[in-house]
Amino acid sequence: MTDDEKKQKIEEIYETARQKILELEKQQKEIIKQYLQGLEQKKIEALRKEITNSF
Amino acid sequence: MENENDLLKKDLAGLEKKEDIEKFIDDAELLGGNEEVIALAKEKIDALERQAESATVLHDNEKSQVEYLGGSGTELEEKIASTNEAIGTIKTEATDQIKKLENLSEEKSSLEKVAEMKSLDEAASLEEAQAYVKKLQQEYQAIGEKDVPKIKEFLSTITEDEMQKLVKEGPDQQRDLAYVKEQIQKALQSEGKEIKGVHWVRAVSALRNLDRNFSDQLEQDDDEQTAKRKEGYRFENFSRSLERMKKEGTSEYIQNAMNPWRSWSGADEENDAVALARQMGIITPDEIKKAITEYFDARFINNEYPNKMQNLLRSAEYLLDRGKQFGEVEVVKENLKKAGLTDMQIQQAETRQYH
Repeated sequence: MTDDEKKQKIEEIYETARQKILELEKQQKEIIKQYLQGLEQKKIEALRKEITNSF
Repeated sequence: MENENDLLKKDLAGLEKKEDIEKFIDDAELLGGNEEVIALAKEKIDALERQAESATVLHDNEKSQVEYLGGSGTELEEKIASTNEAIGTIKTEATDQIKKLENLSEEKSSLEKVAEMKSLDEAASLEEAQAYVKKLQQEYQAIGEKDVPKIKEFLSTITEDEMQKLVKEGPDQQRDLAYVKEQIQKALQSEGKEIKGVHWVRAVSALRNLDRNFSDQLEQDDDEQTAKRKEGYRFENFSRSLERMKKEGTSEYIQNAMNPWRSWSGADEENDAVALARQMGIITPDEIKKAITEYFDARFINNEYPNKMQNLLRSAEYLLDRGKQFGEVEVVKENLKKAGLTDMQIQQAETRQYH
């Protein structure tokens, strides 16, 4: 394998790994988003109850 | 403008400690040849490292949001553990693949060198010699298998008497008929492909040694194949000799190779192996010098047997030849003198005046 071929292969391996990590990062952001939404929902529910009880 | 070598020399001149110099040399060797590939590999590995780290760590805004909404950082860490692990695995695998490619140039150039080698003498290290031997064994085996029907055909067309005649009249008496038959028998009984091949080749070569004209009957062989076989033998002997050196100890092995009264069979090849091992740095000149001196001490100096001088005179020529072959003829001369030979006798032996 020539140096040019090796360099090309390194670029390919890097690009594939980079894309996979990006994809996983996206999934992870979605998990974090859902967790935060869940927390937000709970907080809204709690506030709603608090308001209802105050009447 | 200073070139790379000047800069390296300048850097090296500034180093004083032995460890620093050794490290400098290692680093310089590592950078030699495929600098661009190494630099690219490093850049990409670093980039993957940064990307993976950024992707797996919770950012400050995420942490503060969790805190504000009354959640738990630990709980969130658990939820993202599997994706974090997957990111780590991808990073490690890609890094390993890149590192392998980075090292491939060295392996490849070594393989290319072995493929281009014409003889074992060109091997610069034991690894290269072993790789060359392996390559030869494969070629060797292929030739051996090709010869099987030819050997069978030959054996069916020749009578026992004719064979005996060939043995007697053959120009090379190194192999006898029993040896040929033994090799053929072994080849027929062998189950392992490689062992079988070696026996066939030995048998073919032995048969060829019985009579040069035989090669016309056996096949239209070309010089290249014959050379490969010869090299194969040398190789086989060399590998075997290295094993024996390991088993018996280098000194004992060399002393054995020095002995003119042992069986001549294979002796030259073994002496070749000592010379080759010295050339390749597997055994050092000091080891050979020590072995030769010990051999003389045990046989001609500290030993009081009656025909010592007579044997020494008779063996001087052989011993000097071995000394030349091992590259240590002066050590042999020194010991011949110590054992009692005069300068004149040594000179006569050297110029073969006893013949």
